Amino acid sequence: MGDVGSLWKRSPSPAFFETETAVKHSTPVKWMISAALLSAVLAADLQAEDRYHSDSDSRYLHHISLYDVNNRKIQPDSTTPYSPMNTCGRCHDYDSIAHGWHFNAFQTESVAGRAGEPWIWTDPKTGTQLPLSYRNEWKTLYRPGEVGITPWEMTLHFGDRVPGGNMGIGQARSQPSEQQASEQQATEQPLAEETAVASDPDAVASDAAVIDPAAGEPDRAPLSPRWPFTGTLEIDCMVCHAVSGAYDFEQRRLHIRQENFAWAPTAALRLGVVQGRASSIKDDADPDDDATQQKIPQVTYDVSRFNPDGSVFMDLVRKPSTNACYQCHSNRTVTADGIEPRWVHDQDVHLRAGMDCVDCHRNGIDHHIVRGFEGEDHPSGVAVETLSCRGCHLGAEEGQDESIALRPGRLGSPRPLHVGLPPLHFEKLSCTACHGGPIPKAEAAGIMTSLSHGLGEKGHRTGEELPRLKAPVYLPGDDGEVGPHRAMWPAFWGELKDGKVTPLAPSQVYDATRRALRVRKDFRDEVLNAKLSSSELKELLGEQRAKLDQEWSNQEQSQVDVAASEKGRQQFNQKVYAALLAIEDELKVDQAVYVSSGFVYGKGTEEDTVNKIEVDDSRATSMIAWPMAHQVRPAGWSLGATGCIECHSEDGKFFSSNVSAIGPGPDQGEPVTMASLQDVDPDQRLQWNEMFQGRKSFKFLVGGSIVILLMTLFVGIGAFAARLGGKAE
Amino acid sequence: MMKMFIDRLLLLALMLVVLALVATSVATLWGTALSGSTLMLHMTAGGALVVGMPLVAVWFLRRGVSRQMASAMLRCGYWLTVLAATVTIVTVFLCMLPLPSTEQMNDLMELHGYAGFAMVPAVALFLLAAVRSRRMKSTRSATPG
Repeated sequence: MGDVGSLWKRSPSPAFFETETAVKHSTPVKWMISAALLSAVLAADLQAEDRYHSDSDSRYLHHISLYDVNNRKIQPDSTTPYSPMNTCGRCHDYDSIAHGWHFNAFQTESVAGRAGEPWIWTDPKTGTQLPLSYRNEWKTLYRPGEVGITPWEMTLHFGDRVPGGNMGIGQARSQPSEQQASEQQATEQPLAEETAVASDPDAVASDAAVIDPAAGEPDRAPLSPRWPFTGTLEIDCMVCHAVSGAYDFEQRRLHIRQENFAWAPTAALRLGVVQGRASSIKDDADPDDDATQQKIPQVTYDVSRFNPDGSVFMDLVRKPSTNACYQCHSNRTVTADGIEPRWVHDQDVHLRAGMDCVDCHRNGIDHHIVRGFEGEDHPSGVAVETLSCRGCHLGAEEGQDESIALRPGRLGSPRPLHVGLPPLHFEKLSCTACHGGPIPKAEAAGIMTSLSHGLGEKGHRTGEELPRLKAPVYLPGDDGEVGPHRAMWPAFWGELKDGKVTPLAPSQVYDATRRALRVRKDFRDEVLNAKLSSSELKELLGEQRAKLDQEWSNQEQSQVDVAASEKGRQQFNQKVYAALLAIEDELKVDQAVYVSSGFVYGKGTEEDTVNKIEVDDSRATSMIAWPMAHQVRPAGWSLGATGCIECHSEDGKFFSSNVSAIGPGPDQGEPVTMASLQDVDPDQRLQWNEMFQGRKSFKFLVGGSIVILLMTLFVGIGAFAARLGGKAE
Repeated sequence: MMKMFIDRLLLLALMLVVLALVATSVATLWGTALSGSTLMLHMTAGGALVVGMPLVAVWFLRRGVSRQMASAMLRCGYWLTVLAATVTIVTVFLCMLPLPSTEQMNDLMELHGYAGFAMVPAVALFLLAAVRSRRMKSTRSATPG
């Protein structure tokens, strides 16, 4: 890194020393190049040991100067957005932070650990819900590059659900215009290369890896021409560290959606007003063109936020508040009646007890947040056993190090007795099986999450929006212990080749199927949930009754429902047939298919018909599940608190609750019981249930047996004592 | 004749039950927890022991306390069997009550295992002594004078 600094000193380029006026008219491309360079300089000049630190538990007041992406101090009359990397990164180790759990989601080389919620690419217009992840170890998920989704598209789609993460730095570096490339080749290119290594080796490498078409790996996607206009989505420290209420997520969402990536942190902190939208700039626009420059968003800073010395008070806290976590980690249960209201739910028992999320999910400067699952291996090397449920409440396992730090009772956690619960349960079940997730019912409920459904954003949700998720689904995890999971089934348009279904790029699918599907907002609503026309109603019910829709009898209503369902199915067949035909024609695909709820639909032999095709491709058709932990319920609300038969009976929800494959298509899967998902033999379960039914009587039998045996022993002791007494006499 | 038949029946049943219990729990010696059908079989055999053991204890009680009626080996085998069976059954009974914590249950189960496996030599001694005393009796009755 030190070499980079010297390189920079050796080969200064005028491009990096522009006046502010010049910067105003420079292209974002130059910003990016400069940003990458300057972050390298910062990284090189400020090694971890050189940084100031307060070493106090008290809050450090941040009256600080803001810097833009060119590392120029922001003045009240500046028009460029502030850069968290250049502002916060002056004192804090941005490089280390960039490897943290929240920021490495788009890095292919990051440690994956236990499976987590995938990025579910959702397009309601084409009925798509495609689970994606850059984490290679989560093998059941599709890699975005593999299905033609670029990092830029991922950033646009999911950027408002992550606190940033160096998205785009590699691409911005790689995207100078031809003229700039030739002009700067001699001096800047070597710098840029060094910068890439210096600023964030893994982050940049991963970004570059994903976009480098020459690398020859499957997880590759073409370069996006949008980065130079949108800027990078840097790690925005204030997403988590701003005091509650200071960070406006709605602004963040708005600006990311308008492709104002680099402006989102400024707008969300309401440091000023951002005008303009990068989305209005066409892909092939010339960055140096005045017309393009006019469209680049501009900031008008709120002058009152600046102190006389030009600094700005950043109202922030070291420990993020739970409210900040909720922005991306909320979830709602959905039942047949819709989204369950908040007031019927309690918070996680730990929060009720006064804890915050970060009390367990903590981190150092590396920002590698402790996820809290058993067996977690923290990259820092710090033992985190006692930050899992079992570790905190029960301590390290017997035989392990019994030092104080590994004992139970951390943070004052009570040690549960689990009175009457046979130890076998601790080998077979995770803690969350009984204590976590929504209360199980006869059927797994629907779930909406912040990451998948953008909860937090104002809107009109019914609970039926894609992606359709289900929970709790009791499945064995990687460690073999059964616990609650969330689950979904992929739905996408793909190509069937050699018995495998490969998803097609969603943007290409949308373009190809737009005319065939003619969906304005929602595939399911507009294709499957068909409404009968007045003439169809008249034909079905007669002229008089057709008009009286409020007074229909149950029988009439059911007649209408059946007819509407048939019409929906017919529409589905027609439109999907046409869409598959269009995909095959436009995307040059031999056999196009649509996948939903585990079914694969292909074109029928006759026009406007579709057939279900049997395909042995579990990645496309099987359930995708990931473990869940929260909300944690207290002991009294745990499964089995009322006794064995709460689970070991015919209607014990842990085994008997069922889940069906669900998706945007017309067919939903057959209900499957949790017992069968856990591979529990139904006959054996029945036997166990019967055994537990007679458990009470059996206790009396055992008690009687013990009484007789004890009496026998007393007789023996008496006889022995008498014999000893006889001998003594 | 009837008494001999009941003797044999009870001892055979005891032997079979203990063999079943040992066979289904032998994996625990290598640290494997009982579960599934193995646990089911173990519990079924355990139920038979719960019912059968008091019968054995009461039936052989007189011989257990009388020097004249039984050899020292038989009495020793009998009492060891009764003692081990009592501990085995009591420990599992306590686990069935909503009293012990999981940790205490672990201890009780450990004790249950020790007592259970201790039944093997005890029952073997008891059976061996019973067979020997039967042979001696039949030798005496077959010898004139």
